[in-house]
Amino acid sequence: MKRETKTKKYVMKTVEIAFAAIFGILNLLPIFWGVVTSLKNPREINAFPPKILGFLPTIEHYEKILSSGFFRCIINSVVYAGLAIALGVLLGYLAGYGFARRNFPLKKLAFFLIVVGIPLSTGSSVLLIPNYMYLMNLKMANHWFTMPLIYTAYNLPMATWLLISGIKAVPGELEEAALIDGANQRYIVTRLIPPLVKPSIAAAALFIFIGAWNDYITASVLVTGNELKNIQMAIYDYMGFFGQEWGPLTASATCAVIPILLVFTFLGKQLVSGLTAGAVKG
Amino acid sequence: MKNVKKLLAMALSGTMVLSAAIPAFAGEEAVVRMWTFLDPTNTSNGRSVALAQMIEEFEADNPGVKVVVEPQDYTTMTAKFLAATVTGDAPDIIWCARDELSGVLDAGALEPLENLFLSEWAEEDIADIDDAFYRFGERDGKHYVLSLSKNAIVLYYRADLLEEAGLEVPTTFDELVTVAEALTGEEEETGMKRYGLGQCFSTQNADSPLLANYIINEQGSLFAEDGTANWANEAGVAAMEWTKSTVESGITPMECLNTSGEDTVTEFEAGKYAMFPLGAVRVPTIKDAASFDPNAVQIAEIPGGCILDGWFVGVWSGSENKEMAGKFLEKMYTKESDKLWVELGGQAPVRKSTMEEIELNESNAYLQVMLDAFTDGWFVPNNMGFIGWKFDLNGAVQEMLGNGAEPMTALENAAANFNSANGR
Amino acid sequence: MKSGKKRREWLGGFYVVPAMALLIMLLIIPLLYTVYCGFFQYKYMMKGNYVGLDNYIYCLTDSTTRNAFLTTLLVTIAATVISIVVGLILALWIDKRGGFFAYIIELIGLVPWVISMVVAGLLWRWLFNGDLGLFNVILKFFGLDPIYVIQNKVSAVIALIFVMSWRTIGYAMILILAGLKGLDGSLLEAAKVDGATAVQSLFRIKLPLIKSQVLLATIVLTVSNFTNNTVPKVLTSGGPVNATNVITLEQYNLSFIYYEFGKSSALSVLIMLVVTIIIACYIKVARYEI
Repeated sequence: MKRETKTKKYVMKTVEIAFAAIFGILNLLPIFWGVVTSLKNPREINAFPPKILGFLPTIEHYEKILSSGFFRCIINSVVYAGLAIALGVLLGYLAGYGFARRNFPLKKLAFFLIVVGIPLSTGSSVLLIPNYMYLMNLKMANHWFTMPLIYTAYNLPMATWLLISGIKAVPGELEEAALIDGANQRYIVTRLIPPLVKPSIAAAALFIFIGAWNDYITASVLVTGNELKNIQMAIYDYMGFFGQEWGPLTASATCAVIPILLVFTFLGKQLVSGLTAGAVKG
Repeated sequence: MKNVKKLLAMALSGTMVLSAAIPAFAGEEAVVRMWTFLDPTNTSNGRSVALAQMIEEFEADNPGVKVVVEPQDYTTMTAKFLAATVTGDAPDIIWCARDELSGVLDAGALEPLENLFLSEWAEEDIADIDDAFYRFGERDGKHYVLSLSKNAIVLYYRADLLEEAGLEVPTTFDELVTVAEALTGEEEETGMKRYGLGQCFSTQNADSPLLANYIINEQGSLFAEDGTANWANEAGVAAMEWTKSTVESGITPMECLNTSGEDTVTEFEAGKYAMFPLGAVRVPTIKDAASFDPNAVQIAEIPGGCILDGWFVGVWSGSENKEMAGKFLEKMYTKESDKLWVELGGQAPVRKSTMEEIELNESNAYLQVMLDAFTDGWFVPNNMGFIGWKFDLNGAVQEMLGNGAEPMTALENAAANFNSANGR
Repeated sequence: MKSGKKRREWLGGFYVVPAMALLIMLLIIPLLYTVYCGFFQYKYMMKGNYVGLDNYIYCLTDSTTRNAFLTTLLVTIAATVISIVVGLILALWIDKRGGFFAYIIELIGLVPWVISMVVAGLLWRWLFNGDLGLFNVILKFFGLDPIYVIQNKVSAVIALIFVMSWRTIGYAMILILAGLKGLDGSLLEAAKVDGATAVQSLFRIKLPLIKSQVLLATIVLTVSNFTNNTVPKVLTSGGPVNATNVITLEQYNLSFIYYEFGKSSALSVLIMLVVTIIIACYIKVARYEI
């Protein structure tokens, strides 16, 4: 009996590892190839047969992108994403609370706007030119606050929805008990609920961050000039009118992923079992 | 929540850094704004370096004037410009692509250069820049643009391979096939299959295909007098049959039917092709990335004359700074600037007199080929818009190779697409 | 007391006001403006005549556009289903496994979603390249014939679906995981005590409770795949012979190649309409109540 479970466990483990390996290879193959490419000198990049190892690595492409203002674009993107997270989580949390806990007039209509907002935001490239003309008319294009506001709006429907489900999962009795204990509404909204919906807040923040970080098309149309350029625009610089420059292109794409992985490690703690399982599951 | 607060604080301080870093243009300086795909702060691109130097000189010569370049994505630049003219926020100077110029002129968005500086130019100065590109910017007797980054779709070839095989650069379509056949084979060292002639028929990303040159070679133009497509005919079918034969004989891989222009570039750099058609402006970058001897990258005219292309720079008709904008446009066209474009940027000169001063060698021999191509080449007519024809033709090839459609049927469909999309 | 409660519910609307204001200003008004533009003829941004429903009718009757809608629908549904199913499996697995291992799997799953879409598309295209790509070099190494993935009508569609789902599996995984993390552990414990099998507790307890997250992931991914322009453009370029010609490529061409803003606005509105209908269907099927 005991040995059987042990064999079973062993088989399960092998299956698990095999599954993880396939998943890892498929997911990382192009990224691995990109990183390798970014470390080759220009003449080796296109050489046949493709060299996976056995070339002399060089950091010239990284030097090149850093010397042409890449750092500035990272800072801009961090600011855009940071402001969008702050505003998006705040508005999304408040709206989420309203939707989850109150029955106000026109609630169905308001929720309908959230639902319609998802395609409008994710499919924003479809509405590019009207958006541009509209924002130009409002004199709202080309400012430091343009992109944060846009990113907040674009990711707000998704963030609100996430927070609605998060708050709904918190038992209502908790609130009632707090009210009976003499707590006011403000305490409930600002102190009681937030720690309980941490995973949802983290997920919302993560998705706002990724949405803001990975946007190219909206930024390329709505802002101009190097001062306001974001990181994706910096990547696209290397596939301009004079063609793709594989080296800097892959180097900048590699650099652009690193901050996301850092943010994920920071926010993702909330999502990872084991690290916080005790805190959430009690 | 604490984390959110921390983030908010971080973001706010970041914003302050950002807004402090934006230079204030509010002073009494006159600002000339220009939209282009070049970024003068990019020090690794020769053309950008050349532009940056012109700006520096111009600002020194005109105290109180500032030239601000706002680099744009070249694929959406014109649409954005046209939208900005409507809202009144367009830049003073704009770069337009060939196929878009006619529409921009229709919209009345550009100022005739005669009103700014051209009327003051001496006759020999005009003669120095008068060519097919200059005439392309003409409408009703006035010139609206000057051309920078002049381009021609030429035939790239590997001089080393031709020499090894003892072959001459082809000058007719038949010779092109013969040479390509001789150069098709297996690379001994690497075992890579090499094709004599690279072609690409993507409908999203490609320069004009050789079959367009074939049609022009046969009948002089792709379009009829009234602006309709003129390729669903004998010449078109012959061009399609020729294209089909290149694939069937194996000098062009069957994959070409969904290969993009960028694919052929990378593949040529890897050594997969001995010859392929592409815009001549790409010579410097291709030399940099070739996996073989960079001096083996040479270009030649395509039989029957190359198709010309380029960027056309004009001044916005609604600009409040037309005078100064015109002055800077003129600056980018002076003799000194022309030398910068050539020497730093590897660009073809815009003035005939500049060419006479250049010493040619193996590494810049392509400049002479470009100039010849400019003289012999073919431009789309400039009396109306001609949009999407290269993708329409590529679509016809895809239909023939991928669906087995009859050449005539495929061409008729392509012509119908072109005519309806261009409102003919 | 009763009126006090009612007043409380009514005042609850104010929680929603700031978010609504932002959405109306930056999403709804531009949409209405687009609808308006769709009624006019535009050539190079110059507003022309009022043409009524002509632009809309053009988009609905043009056969290339219609086929593009069908192709988009096929690719979108296939890619979304794959992402959700695989994402759900991964999320359940990670939730059960926990620890550093889970963190690594999450990180690996996240990377395709966060890397620059255009660079990932280009790299896949290059990996699939007929003679020079790594994919065929590996096939050759095993003595197999090369496969020209992007050049074949069937394999190009499969490649497009593959890369699109590859990109979004991590998104589905993390969103669903967020739902699993929010579950009340005691419910599952109770079910276990009552003798529920793992499968039972999955379908009876876990899935109904994370319905909202799965629904949201499905909606976001459907929309994101439907309106994705970058991946189809760089990976398969709509070809060969229009096999992967999705609707956003048509829309892009109308806007940025032909400068037909009237028609492209009409097409944008139609795309939004189709996507909204799909979402409405999802919500109906999932019986989601707000």
